[in-house]
Amino acid sequence: MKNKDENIKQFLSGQKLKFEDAGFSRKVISRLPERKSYDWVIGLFAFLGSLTAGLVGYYSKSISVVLEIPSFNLNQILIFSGILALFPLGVLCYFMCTNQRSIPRL
Amino acid sequence: MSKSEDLGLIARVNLFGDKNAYNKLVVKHQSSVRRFLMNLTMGDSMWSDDLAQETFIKAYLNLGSFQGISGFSSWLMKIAYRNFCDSLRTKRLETNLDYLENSIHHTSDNHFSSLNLDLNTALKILKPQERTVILLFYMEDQSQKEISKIMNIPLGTVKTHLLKGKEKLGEYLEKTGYEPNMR
Repeated sequence: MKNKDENIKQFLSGQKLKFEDAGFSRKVISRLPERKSYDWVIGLFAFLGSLTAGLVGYYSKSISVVLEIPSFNLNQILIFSGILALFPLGVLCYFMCTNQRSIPRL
Repeated sequence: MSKSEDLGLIARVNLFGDKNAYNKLVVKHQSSVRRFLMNLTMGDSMWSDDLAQETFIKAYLNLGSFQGISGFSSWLMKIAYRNFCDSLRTKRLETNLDYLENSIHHTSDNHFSSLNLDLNTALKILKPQERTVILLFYMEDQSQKEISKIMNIPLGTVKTHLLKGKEKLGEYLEKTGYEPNMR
């Protein structure tokens, strides 16, 4: 039985052909439908995150406590919220700028 | 490319719709999928390539449902096998075996058809499910558990098909006087 198994393995591995791509993947990619874009979801969450950061900064004293600043005027709060919003806005810009790349022609 | 690289490319496709990433996946896996389908269709390269293209398109559309529990290649084989079964049904033939036996005489005249004639002749002696199990196990290096998922049959049935397939194929090779180092 072991010999039969070896024979089968040898026979089938000898028949194991390797297919060259030869434009196959290109044909597949050209037939792919466009996927729905959900980039707006990222933008929405970036906006909500920024808004939340701004409101928390404005209505709570937690930021001034953390920074140990005795008083915190509106300008400082707005500046701080703007800095906090940089990250989600940066992410949003990255996603909007790096949309689907085209496949280079062979 | 390792499995983790596959997962990275899949994530890029899912998150960013990156077709370049999907192109890399297709290039990596196209050989095994096309070979599997070529052997299932008994050497019909046109039919098998059509099925292979459909496989990759369906995989792209359902990439979000790939959970990564099994390998990406096993998942592709599952889609390929389903496509093959559906295609066979839609051709409205009386029996699968009749169609596939006839297809040996109608394969397109290409390099692969002539090389694979003795493989197709050997596989002809097996029942369709035995044939599929043997191909997946020996040629596509899938485990019995993976084969069970690919073909959607119990593990015990896979083992039975494998055992019977090995017996028949082993006897056939002995009868034809096959020597392991003949090629």
